[in-house]
Amino acid sequence: MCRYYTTFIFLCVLATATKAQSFATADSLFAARDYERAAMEYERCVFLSESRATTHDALLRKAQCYKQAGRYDRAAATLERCARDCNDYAQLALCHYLAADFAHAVAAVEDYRMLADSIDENVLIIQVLALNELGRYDSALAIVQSFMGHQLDSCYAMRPQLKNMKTTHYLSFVPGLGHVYAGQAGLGIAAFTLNAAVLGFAVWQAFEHCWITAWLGGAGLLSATWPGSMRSAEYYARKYNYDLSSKYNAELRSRILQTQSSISSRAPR
Amino acid sequence: MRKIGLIGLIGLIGLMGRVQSQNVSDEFNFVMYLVGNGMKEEAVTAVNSTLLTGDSIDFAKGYAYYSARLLDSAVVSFDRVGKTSVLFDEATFFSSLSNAHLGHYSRSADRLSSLAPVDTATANLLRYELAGVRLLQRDLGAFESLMCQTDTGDYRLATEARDLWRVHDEIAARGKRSPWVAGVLSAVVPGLGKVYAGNLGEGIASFLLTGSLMAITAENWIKESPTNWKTIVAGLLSAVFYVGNIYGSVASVKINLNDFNHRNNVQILYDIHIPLRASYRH
Repeated sequence: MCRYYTTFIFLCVLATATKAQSFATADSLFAARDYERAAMEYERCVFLSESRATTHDALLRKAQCYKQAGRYDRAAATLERCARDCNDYAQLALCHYLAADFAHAVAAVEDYRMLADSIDENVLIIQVLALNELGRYDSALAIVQSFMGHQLDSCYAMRPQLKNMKTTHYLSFVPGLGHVYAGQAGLGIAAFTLNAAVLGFAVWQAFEHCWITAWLGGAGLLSATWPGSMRSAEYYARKYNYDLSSKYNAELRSRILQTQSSISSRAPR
Repeated sequence: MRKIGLIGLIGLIGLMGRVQSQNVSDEFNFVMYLVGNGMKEEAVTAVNSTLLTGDSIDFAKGYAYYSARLLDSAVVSFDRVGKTSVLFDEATFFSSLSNAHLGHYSRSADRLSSLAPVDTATANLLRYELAGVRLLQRDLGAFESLMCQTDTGDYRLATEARDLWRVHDEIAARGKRSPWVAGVLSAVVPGLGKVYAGNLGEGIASFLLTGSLMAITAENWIKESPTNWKTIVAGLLSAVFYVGNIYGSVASVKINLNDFNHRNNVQILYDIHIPLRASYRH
């Protein structure tokens, strides 16, 4: 008799399996850190959902799965589907920022600014950090001053002295000079020596009346080494700028977060 | 009491059957929704996680794998769809297409030959798909014969049929180029073999480079001496570039042919894929 009841209950449970279970399944997968399957199950909730609230909830949780898995671009793409309806621009901006998509991070906060009456300082920080990465320090400073005052003015005053790409280009008409300007003195000397040797060979051959060797051997070789030196100088200038900006932005990020945390800890509760 | 329990059990088993059928349908629709919205990764995760079975599920698996370009798995799943299923024709078409993508053209044609369509639209599509596979096999005669039997006015394949004819004409117009001829031509005039292979720019560049080195060698040979270091260096470089250019010309014919075939095959695969998508929308 007991066997009948057990079978009956088991079949009842299976037969009454409903759409509502999808959320529970997804949540349990999320708790078990199986983010890939959890994301798929949350998408199933979206598919089965008959209300916008459920859809938004599922999408937000799906984005959390991707965020936990470190796939910030996919998290941002998921949030793009619901951020406007959920008004969750902070998460969207954060995911774009973490995915190194700084322009979209700034755009998300700008959208937020247009729709919200007041804006959370944490969201502003994301915008500031994204603007820093884009090299838009003036815009970043204006926002920083709006909620932190002038505490970080000194940091923004010490901006990185980046190499001018046009200057690099024109200086490297003299082989090696562009390298020296880009901070690569050794390579500059090597580039100058190489080009001078090739040019010297061409001139020597011209004096020897070996015109073909002078033109095709000397000048022909110079036509490869000279533009090559220019491109190399520009590459090192770009690398110098990138390294310097990254270092400066890292310091700036650290200072901004420290300042914000000290302001928050001083704020009256 | 036992009788009541037994009746309840039978009723529940019937209900379970309906629930299973509903679940299969939901899963099928869900996978199609994922693929349709570009969530290929989620679709593959969904079909890999499902415990459900049946022709619809096998088809959904095949479709998810095909979309994610997991073509071997797609073929296996499509081939599992039973002949009695309403999805059999579509599964066979997609199995054939997956095989074609994998470069298994004979298998692709065999899969299509196993179809016995009952309606004229599917029969027309079958002829068109088979023509495409024949073109992939470079059987131009079979392609022409099948295309002549195909109603290319059908809106689902009209544009792609024109494309296939264009590819056919290009293949027919391209004569066979011999690597040996390219090598000999480059031996006579450096770079000429590359021009013959179809690389005009590379041919001119090779001619200028090798020719310049030879001119420098000649100049130093005459003005200095054959044993002068400039003559030796330029002569050695000339020899290296001369031989390298001959080898490069031979290789160019093969590389160009591979590029030509690859480009055309991509176009053919696209042209036989689109009518399938247009014919079967989920």
